[in-house]
Amino acid sequence: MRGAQYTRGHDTIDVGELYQLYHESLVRLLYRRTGDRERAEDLAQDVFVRALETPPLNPKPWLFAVALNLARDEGRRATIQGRRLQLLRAEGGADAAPAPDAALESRERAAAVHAALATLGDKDREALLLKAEGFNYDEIAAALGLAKGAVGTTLARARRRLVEAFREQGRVSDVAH
Amino acid sequence: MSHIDDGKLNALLDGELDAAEADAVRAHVASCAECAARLEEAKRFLEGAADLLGALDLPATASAPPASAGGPAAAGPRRVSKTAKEIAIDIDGATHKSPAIRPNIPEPAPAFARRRFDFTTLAWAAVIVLAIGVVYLANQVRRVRGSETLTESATQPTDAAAPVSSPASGAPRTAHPSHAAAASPTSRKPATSHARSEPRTTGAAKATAAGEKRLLAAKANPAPSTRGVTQTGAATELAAGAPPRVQAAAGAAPGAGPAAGRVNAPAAPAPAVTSNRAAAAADRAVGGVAAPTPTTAATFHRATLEQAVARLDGVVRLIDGMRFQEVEIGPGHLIAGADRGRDVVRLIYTGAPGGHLTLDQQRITLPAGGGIVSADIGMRPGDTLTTATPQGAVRVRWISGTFWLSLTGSLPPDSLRKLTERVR
Repeated sequence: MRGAQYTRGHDTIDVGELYQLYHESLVRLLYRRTGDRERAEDLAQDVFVRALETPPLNPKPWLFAVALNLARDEGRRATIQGRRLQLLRAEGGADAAPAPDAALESRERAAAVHAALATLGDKDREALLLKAEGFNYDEIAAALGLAKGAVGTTLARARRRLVEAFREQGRVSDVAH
Repeated sequence: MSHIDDGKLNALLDGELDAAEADAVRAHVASCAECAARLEEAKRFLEGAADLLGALDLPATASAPPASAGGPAAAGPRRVSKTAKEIAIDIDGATHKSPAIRPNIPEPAPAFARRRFDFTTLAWAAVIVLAIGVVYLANQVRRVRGSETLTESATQPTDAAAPVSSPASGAPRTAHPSHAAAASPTSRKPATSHARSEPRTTGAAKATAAGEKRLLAAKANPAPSTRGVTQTGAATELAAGAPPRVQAAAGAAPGAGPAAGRVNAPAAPAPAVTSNRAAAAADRAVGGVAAPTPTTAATFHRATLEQAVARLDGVVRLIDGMRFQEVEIGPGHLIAGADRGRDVVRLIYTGAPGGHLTLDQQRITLPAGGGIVSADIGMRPGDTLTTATPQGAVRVRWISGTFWLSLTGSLPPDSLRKLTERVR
């Protein structure tokens, strides 16, 4: 995307530069949000397409806010698709090669974290994901449309709920086994 | 002092309080067992959440993201391996920002993903082999026909969808959506409230199915100069705070009269035109001809080279020595100066020096008695029409043999015209 420059007022925005700066971070955030690497890559591309269409003035919070919006919409649409995918995985599970213990454990943990994240409200989850990408409170507030004073409270609630939801899953899992 | 709320305790842990505020909170915590306990608890939750998110690092894939030049993204998992436990939180002294959590937990792709990857690889291999074959065949056909001499070059497709149709302004057929957004009264307003409105806007771009479809099509072609056709409506609407709609883009076709999504940019500077005759003809065409029914979809969509070859009666014009990355086909009525009744094939060169290049082309029928090719095109064989935007994006249109061609890029006009000579 290099060379894609737009001018707004006195600011020149180089979308290629934005891509270099934020693409990886966006993909990681979207992966954490969606749990699907390919989908995360696709959504990140969508974000930059939108940046090309409407060059943002304040790119960083804009890009991440758009990414989270897309992921939110995507999540709603993908619910049914996700169930189908789970079925496919279940069918294919029998002949799949057994994964090494460490990798299996890692995947199970990731799945549990995803499930715990899914129990959070949108704002809580998004604030947490943005913080994990190094956003400060001002940037989180800008991206999520929150007052800066509310960011600490949102993060406090999100962190507590994530940890508790994860623990709760562990208990359910223990019971199940 | 009353107890400190969790939000402030988290702000302290995150290093978000100014020095005076942080001192006050620390002083209170030092003298309040309950708040001290809650601070410890908040710290545990912070670290616990960071640990959990660390388990969701990106799994390794074959297509690693491009190397970052710097900034936050540059501190990716492969470079900065900060685990959650490494987050330093100094609540006794001066607070400092807790770093981004980028734990380094390499994870193999899930089994189902690996299976899908194998399949995808095969599919890609097949596509590449097919593409090579078609390019080879196209070259052969071209050689047989003999290369046609080129005389002209390209523009900004943006001017296509944009206010070409702005008869009142009489000038700017080259208003770039973003330029138009900056220049037009309607779009200037949202620009000022940008920080708040845009995320909402794009959030609203949760869009209609149509909007989604168009954006997906647009996604396939991220080149700014190539966005014009599909982006105009969206750019305008996004800037104005409304969700994008495909119909808007289609409705903003040149000469279609007032339509939703149309950009009126009376203040936009006039393009540099290097063929008065052609420009006048094109302007007439753009301003007053009723649009024939588009031959295909309402917008541009990705296509294969085979489809492009078929659409152009067996020959696709290419830029010699360069490799295009994407092919799209869309209706001519979305492109200013194109024959509105025929499809346009678009080749996108994303790796071009100086940025992206877009080569649009249509097969045309030359008039028996000479004169302009068609009212829509408004040019004669041998004409070159160059338009430029204030930002330096340039579009050159020309007729070459039985092709209408349009090359767009962020290059100086002379360079772009020179480049048209390489279109074979």
